[in-house]
Amino acid sequence: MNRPEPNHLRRRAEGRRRVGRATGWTAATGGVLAGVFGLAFAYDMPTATAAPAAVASAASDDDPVPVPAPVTPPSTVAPHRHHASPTATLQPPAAAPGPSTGGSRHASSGAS
Amino acid sequence: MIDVAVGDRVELRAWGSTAALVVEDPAALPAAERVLMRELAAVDAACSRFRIDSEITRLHALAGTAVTVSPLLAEALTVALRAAQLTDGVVDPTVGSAVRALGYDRDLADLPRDAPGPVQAPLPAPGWWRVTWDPMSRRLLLPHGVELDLGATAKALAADRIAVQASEEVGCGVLVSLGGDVRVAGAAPVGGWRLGVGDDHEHAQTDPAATVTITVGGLATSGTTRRRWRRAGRDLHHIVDPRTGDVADGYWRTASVAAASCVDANTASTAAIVMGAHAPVWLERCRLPARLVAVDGRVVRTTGWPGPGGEELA
Repeated sequence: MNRPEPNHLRRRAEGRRRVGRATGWTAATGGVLAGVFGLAFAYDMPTATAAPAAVASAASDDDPVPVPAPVTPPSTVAPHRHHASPTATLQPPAAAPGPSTGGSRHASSGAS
Repeated sequence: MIDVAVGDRVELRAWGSTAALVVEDPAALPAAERVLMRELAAVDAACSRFRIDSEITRLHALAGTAVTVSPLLAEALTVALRAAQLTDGVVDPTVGSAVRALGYDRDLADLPRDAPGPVQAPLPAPGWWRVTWDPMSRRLLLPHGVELDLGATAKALAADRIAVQASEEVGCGVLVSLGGDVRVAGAAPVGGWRLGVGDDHEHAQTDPAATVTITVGGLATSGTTRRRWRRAGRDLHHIVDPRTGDVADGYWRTASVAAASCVDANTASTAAIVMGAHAPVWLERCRLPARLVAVDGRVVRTTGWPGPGGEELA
C-alpha cells in the first residue's frame, strides 16, 4: 500500500538533483555578489583615520558635503582621531600646587 | 581700556570679567601688555558669538558648507573639540543654541538680570561629533542647526597663548588671569605665584587656606555664582549641561583645577561642575589636583591639592 512506483522514485531522484544544482548555483552566485559588494563598501566606507582626508578631499566651497547626523553618539565607533590633540588626555601640572607661606596674592581664581 | 597699570601689573575689563597681567620684571610690562592686547583682540575677533563681525558668527551663516578657517579659530576649534572628546561630551562646544535658548544671547553686560518672561524649553546640544573638522587643512563643515559656543575653552586658550608668548617675548616670568582662568609661564617668583581661590575672581580671598602657589601650568575655577540671570522667577547661570540643554545641576558651587595648561584646567573645572557628584572620582582618575566646594560649603580636595586637615579628600 502506498508503495512508490519505480518511475515515481526516478522522478523524485531527478528532482532532487535539479534542486541541488540550482541551490549550488544560487549559493555560488550569492557568494560572488557578496564578495563584490563587500569590496565596494570596504573602499567606500572611510575608517576613523581615513575620514578626515576623505572629507577634506571631497569638500570645497562650492560643493557642500552632506554630513551624517546621528541622533545619538556612536558609542561603538572609535573616536575621530582628527579631533584629538597631541595629548590624548588632560595633562596634570608638572608640579602640583603648593600651600602659600604668606605674602600678597598675585591673582585670584574664581568664577567669572 | 586699561583700568590699572601699576608696577608689575595691568588690569582691565574684558569679556564681561577682569583680565590681569603680572610680570616678574616691571620693565617688561609694556611689551607684555602689547601681547595681552593683541591676543585679546584676535581671540575676540575669531571666537566671540556676540559680535556680528566675528569669524565664528560668519561661520554660522555658512553652515552646511565646508570652509577654511583662520589659524587662530582652527586652534580654538581643535581645543574645544578635544575638550569634548576627553570629557565624553560633558564640555561640548555645540551648546550655542542651548545657551541662547536659556537667554544668554548677548554680552553679559547687556543681559537683563531679571525678566518676567520664561525661557525656551531646554535644547540639548546637537553633539560635537557632528562637526567635521580637519585641523591639517583647517577645513570645517558645520551642519545646519549646529551653533558653536567656544566661550569656556577660548578664554582659557587666550590665557595660555598670552602667557607663553609674553614670556617668550620679554624673557621673564608672566602670569595671566582672564576671569580667574590663570596661566603662568617663564621663571616663577621665589615661592611661586600666589593665587587666591574662591567663589569670585574679583574679590580677594581672606582665608589663607584658600591660597595656593603654582610655578608652572594653569589653574582655572568654574562656578555658578557669577554670570547669573533670572527668568520667570527661575535662577539661571552660564554652565550648561550639553546632555539636557539646561543649566548644570547645582551640586558644586565652584570647582578649581590645576593642570599643565589653562585649557586643560578649564576643561576639567567646567566638566566637574556638570558631572556633579561624580567629579572627584573622575578628577582623581585624570590625576588632576582640584578643590571642589559644594553648595552647602563642604570642601573636597583631590590628591595633589594642598589643604588643611578637616577638608574631605576624594
